[in-house]
Amino acid sequence: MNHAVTTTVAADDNDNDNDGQHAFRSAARGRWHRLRANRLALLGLVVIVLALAVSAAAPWLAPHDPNVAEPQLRLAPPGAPGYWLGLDAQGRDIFSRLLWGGRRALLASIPPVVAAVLLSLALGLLAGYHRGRWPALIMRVIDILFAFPMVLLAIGLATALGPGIWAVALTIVFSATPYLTRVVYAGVRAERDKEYVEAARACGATTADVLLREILPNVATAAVVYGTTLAGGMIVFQAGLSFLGLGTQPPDADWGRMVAEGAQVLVLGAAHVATAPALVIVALALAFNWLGNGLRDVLDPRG
Amino acid sequence: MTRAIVYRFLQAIPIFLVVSVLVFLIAHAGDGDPVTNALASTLPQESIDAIRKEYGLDQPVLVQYALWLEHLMAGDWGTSLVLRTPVFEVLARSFGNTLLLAAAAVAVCLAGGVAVGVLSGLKRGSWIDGAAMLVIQVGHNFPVFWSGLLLIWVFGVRLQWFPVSGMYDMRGDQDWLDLLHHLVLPAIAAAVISMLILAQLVRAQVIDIMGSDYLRTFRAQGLPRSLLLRRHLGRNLLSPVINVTGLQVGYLLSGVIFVENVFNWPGIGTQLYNAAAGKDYPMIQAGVMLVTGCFIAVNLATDVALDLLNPRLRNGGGPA
Amino acid sequence: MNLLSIRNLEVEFDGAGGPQRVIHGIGLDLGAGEVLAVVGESGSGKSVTAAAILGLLPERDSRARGSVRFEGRELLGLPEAALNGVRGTGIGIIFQNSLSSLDPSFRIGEQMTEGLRFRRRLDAASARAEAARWLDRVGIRDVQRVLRAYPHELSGGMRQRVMIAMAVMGRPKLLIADEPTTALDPTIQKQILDLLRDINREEGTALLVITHDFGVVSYLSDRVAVMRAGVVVEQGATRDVLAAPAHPYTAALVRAVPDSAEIRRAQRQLAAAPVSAATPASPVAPADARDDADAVLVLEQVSRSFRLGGGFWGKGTEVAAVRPTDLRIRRGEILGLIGESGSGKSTLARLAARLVDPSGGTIRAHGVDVTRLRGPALKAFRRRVQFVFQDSGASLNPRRQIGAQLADALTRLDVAASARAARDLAVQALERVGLAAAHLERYPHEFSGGQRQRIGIARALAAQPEFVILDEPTSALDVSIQAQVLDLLRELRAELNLTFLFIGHDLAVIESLCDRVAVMERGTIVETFDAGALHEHTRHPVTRRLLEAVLPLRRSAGEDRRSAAA
Repeated sequence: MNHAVTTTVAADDNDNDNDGQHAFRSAARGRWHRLRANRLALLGLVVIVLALAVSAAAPWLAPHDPNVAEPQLRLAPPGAPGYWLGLDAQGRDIFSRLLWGGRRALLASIPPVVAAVLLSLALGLLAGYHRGRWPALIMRVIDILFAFPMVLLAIGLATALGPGIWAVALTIVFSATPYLTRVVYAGVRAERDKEYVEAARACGATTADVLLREILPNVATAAVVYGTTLAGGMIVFQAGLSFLGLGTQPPDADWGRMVAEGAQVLVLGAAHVATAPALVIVALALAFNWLGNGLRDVLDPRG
Repeated sequence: MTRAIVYRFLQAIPIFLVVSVLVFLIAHAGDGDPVTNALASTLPQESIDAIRKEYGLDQPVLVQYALWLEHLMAGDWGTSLVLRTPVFEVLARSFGNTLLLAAAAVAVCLAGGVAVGVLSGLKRGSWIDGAAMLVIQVGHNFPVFWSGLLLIWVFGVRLQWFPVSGMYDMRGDQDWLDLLHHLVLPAIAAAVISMLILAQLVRAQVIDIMGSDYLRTFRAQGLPRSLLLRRHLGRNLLSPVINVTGLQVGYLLSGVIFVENVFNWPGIGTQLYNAAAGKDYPMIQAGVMLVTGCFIAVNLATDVALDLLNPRLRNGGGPA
Repeated sequence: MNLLSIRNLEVEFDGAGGPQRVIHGIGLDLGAGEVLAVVGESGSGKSVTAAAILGLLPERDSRARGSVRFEGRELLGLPEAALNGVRGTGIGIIFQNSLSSLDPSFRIGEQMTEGLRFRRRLDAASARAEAARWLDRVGIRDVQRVLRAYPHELSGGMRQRVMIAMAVMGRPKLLIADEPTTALDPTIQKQILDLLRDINREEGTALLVITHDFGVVSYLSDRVAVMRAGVVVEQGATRDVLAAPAHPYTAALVRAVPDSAEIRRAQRQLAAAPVSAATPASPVAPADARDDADAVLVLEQVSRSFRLGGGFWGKGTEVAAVRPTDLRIRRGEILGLIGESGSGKSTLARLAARLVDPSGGTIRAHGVDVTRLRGPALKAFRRRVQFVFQDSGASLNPRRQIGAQLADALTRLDVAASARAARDLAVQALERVGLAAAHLERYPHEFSGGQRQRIGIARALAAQPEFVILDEPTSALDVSIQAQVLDLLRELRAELNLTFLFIGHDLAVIESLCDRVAVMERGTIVETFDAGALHEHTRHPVTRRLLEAVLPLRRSAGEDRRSAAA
């Protein structure tokens, strides 16, 4: 009888690899292959890495001081000698300002999103797993926050703390966390009642054990994927806040600020002042979007 | 069912209160108090003290909060520190303008989002779908202010089809036709991103519904596609569309505030922004509460509408 | 001329790896008024065939070739408008999942009248009256309530009747039924099958029944076609195919069906004998001091209630899943616990395993009270009493390797002192159920359903328990895989001296595997008896109902006569 059982199962088994360690390494390699195959995602990754590198190296890469003005050359179009992308309304080099502005844009958007991902994982896990009234109430508050016009919050924070990077960063954390928490919460709720959780508890797992080792792996992917895409959206949002004047203050370079300044000279025909930073914002946001989509395919073990 | 609706109303109240507390706290978060901060550089200390007494700022914080809330509910929203006029007058007018723009944006968002989403979902895999998805992907990442500027550049400056500033033509009739003319570009700019988000969702829902088991049932009865689309697709799209649009209201309001800036629309966004710059606390507090209250009301309406549409709540029961 | 004639049907789907052929040239024949069953395991392509007949395959990504002739007319390749002429009035179809097959946003009445109003231009009132007539015809009593109801408000059985009414309202000559009873309880299943047979006999509607259940095949069909991996391996009169299957695959399938003389004997005898009101069946044999020490587990008056609904403001309602009830499990036996859905058997199983705390009553293991155990004592209990879940897909964490999951179970229970020891024990358990060490690094989705169920059993065995509770372990498995798992359980009991509590809803499976049977209804155990005593006339009405619902395999007319004489 034992014999019959093994033969049937052996027919299903087509694994020649008996060494477990090889299996793990090839799983990781497999993921990399799949990411590579998704060309858009790869492109996105490249763009992001480039942006990070270039921004970090801004002090050495920028051909001119971003805040120094050459009034005679103001509004010169792209292609002017020594000024790749032209000059803005005050005669400052747009390219250098883009590089330096990148630092602020990335600093103001990415760390807050990372913080929001961590915060949302904690909140979502706790609220999603426990039963009772308080988790439901917390999620209700989160729901309201989720749809709240964040610009108002930004205005409020800017008034209290003064405009600048802290107001913007806090606003981003407040914007991103509800959205991500909802995603995590939904995931945890879906998994909470599944039998593998029951099985783990049946073996004596503590709540922390269940949350971290059983449920987290199932919801972390969604959080990372949405977080990545959200980072793109936050770059746009941060630029918007700067555009309104709530972020970096002049004369420091900032993409949103640059677009605002460019808007004023748009009617004069100098489109390049606003266009360059706007395109950069869109490109970086798209890059995060593509990367997020690619990650979604890659991190699902059913690949 | 009525119980569910009443619960929703009840739940809205604590939210409103919580926001009011937050708003109040934020205003008083900095050192000193609003009046001193705003006027320290312009008036002598005695005047400041007098004004503080007038505004009740020498009382403990909790009392101030209670007084403020009481006045807010009664309609007395205080006096602007900067403009020296009652806040209510100023805000009422500009909020009306904002609401107008927001309503137009919602209309554009709904019409465009549903149209694009349905078309793209039904023609899945075709070039129409591909093009729509591309537009959605890219446009999603366009900053609102950039869309606004683009629209101004193309339709305002180059083609000169639409005006790019303000609500009415200063020299013209100022009738509703003129208003509509001025409304077009800002409404589209504010609605674009939400429209794309809605389109994406509608497309996914359409694909879901068209591939669903129940659609298969009616198809198997030999009913024509037009009937299936009209009845089954239509009704099952209603809930998700309302749900998402309701969720987008916050986003739309944000967009409207940006758009007001770009198009010089005299709305509450501009008002609040100026107030923030001038540290005009009564204005900011009242303004934020106004928008919040309105926003909570819209949320409530959406939730109630969804409840009314939900078959599981209609007959009030589960399986027999 | 045949009503339906399929020749060389091929169906291809476009998948990630390119086009995949799912149906490889099959042929089927169905005459007017006949009942043909198409039987096969999952993946055999039987549902795809049904969809292909009516042109209901997904529009993109699929292609069908060959010939499907209905009343002499070729259906494949017809434009949608022409197909609509055949659908509903020529050929009707009902599907497996009645909840998802009805539009959740419309009332039943609105859905039923849709077809009528369109095809025959009836006004609302006449259409509704006709719909009411059909609901009555399919055996629904409270017709007006059902017409006003939404799909989620009806039970599974009632929804399936509604689907049948909707399908036959157009008076089709052929009704295709794709797994019509799979999601239903056995007693309801029998009612629906009787309804279908009724429609076949009275309206003369031919039936094409897709199923995986040989009992259904035997009960309903005149002829049967056996499918495997997109090919028809055998076709013929039902009695003949079941009695003497020509193809080895068919033979293997028929052999795997739990079917016993005892069930058939019991069915015959109980059909004849009335319920004896004189001897009320006592649920459990009276307690015995000697029994207690021998009993692996004794549940005395245990009950469990849940609070449903509520929310932040309200308190919700209390639902009693298990009313005070008794159960005793003897060492070394396989005890079967049977009941329909909602009877509380899953909850009782979880109470026995202490996965859930009882609301009342006591539980004793070898005489020791374990009702309110916590901490290390509870862990010690868990090492001795393990649980195997029903849905192996959901009982394994999809994002963790199974080796890690097995090892974790061991470390959490303090069975293994180190990671190394845990790994060794895990490998041992896997090998015992017929898998290998190489499988440790794989993820659940890389295994088949049957293999996953084995992994679930391995996880339970790894802790070397003495008592294993299995909650419907084979309900979701194909019949051949089910047979393998049941064999495995028998082996394990013999090799490891285990005691099993086996929860199920299929009396045939329980009778074939278990020594004793406990029957549950609405939260209590109504009786317990030895498996061999199934035929005795003291059996409880609930047991009789379950017995009647079993569909035995009738292999030949001769066989029936012979066993009747015995």
